[in-house]
Amino acid sequence: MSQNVIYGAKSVEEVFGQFPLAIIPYTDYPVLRDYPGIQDEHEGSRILDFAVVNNTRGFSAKDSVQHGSRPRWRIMAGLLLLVLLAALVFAWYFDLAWINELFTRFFLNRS
Amino acid sequence: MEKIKQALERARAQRNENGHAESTAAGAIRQIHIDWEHLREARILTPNDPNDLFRHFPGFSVTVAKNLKHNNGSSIAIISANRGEGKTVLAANLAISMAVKSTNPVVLIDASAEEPSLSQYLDLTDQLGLTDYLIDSVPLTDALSCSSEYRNLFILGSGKRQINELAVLSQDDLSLLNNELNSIFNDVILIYDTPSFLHSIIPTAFSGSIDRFIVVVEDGVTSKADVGYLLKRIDTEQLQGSVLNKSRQQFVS
Repeated sequence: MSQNVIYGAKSVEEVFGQFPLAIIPYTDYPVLRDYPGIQDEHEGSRILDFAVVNNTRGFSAKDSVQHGSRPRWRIMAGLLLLVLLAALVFAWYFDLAWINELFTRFFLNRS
Repeated sequence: MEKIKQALERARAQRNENGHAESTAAGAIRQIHIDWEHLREARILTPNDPNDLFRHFPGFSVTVAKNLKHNNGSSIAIISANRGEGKTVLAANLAISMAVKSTNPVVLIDASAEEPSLSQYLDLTDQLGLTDYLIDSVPLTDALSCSSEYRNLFILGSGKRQINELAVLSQDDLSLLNNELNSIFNDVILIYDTPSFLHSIIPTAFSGSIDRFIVVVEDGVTSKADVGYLLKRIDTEQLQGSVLNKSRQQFVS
C-alpha cells in the first residue's frame, strides 16, 4: 500500500488531526449478513457499534478493531466452555465422587 | 447580495399574500414514489429495513445533529476529494436517519448536477429541482419532493437543466437557497450531496455558505495529497470531521 494513500483510521487521524467520526465497513450492507462470523443480529450490531466511533470515547484504531471483530458474548461463551471442560478433566483425574456418580448414572446404568 | 434580498422579499411577499402557514407551504410539496428495493441495493436505508444498520446509523446522525446545533448551524455538506468515495450514500443515509430520529424537517439537496447519483437513485432526473429553481426561478416548493414513508424528509433533486448550467452556482445562490428553505421550514437541517472537489468548480461556492463539512475518505484509495488539497479549499474551522468509508480494517485481527 502506497504511503501516499489513506489507509485505516490512524492514517485519517494523521491527516485530519482527529479520529474519524465514523468508520463504515466495506461490506456493510447488504453483504454484512454474508460475511463469516457476522450472520446474527447481535454480532451485526457489534460491527456497527464499531462503525460509529465517537471521538470522545478515546478508542485507538487497534481498540476499535478488536471491539468490532470479537464480540464479548462469544468470548464469554468460550471461557465458560473451557471452565466446564477443565472441571471435568480435573474431576476425572482426581477420581472425585461426583464424576463417578455422573458416569454411573448416565452411562453405566443405561448400558 | 441584491439577489438574496430580492428572493427573500419575494418569499416573504408570497407568504403574506397567501397567508399560508409554514405547514401549508410544506404540505404543498409533491409526493414522489420511491423504489425502496432499488435503494436498498444501493445500501441506502429504507423503511422496515430488515438489516440491523437502521438501528445503529442514527447514533452517528445524532452526533452530527448535535454538533450542528452546538455551532448554531443548519446546513451540512458531505464532501470528498474524488468521485465514488461514498458521498451520496452517506448523505442519503444521514438524512434518512436524521428524519427518523428527530422532529426537525430534513432537506436532502442534490447539488451534484454533474453526476446526480442521488437524483438517479430517487428517479428525480426528469423532475424540477435545484437547477430549475436557480436558473428559471421555479418556486422552491415546486422543486421540492417528499416521500410518504418519511414525513420529515424532503428532497431537492438536481433538476431538469443541463449539467454544465450548475457551474454558475455561486455562494449567493447557496445563501439564497438556505435562506428560503429556512423560511419554508422551522429548524430545518439541510444536507448537501456535493460534487467531488477535485473534479468540479462548484465546491468553491460551498466554502462561504455552508455551516459544517464532513469529508468522506475511501480507505486505501483516497490520497493524502488530495485530502490536503480539499482541506485548503474549505475553512477548516467549519470541518466537523471525517468518515472512513469502505474500510476493511475491522476484519483484521
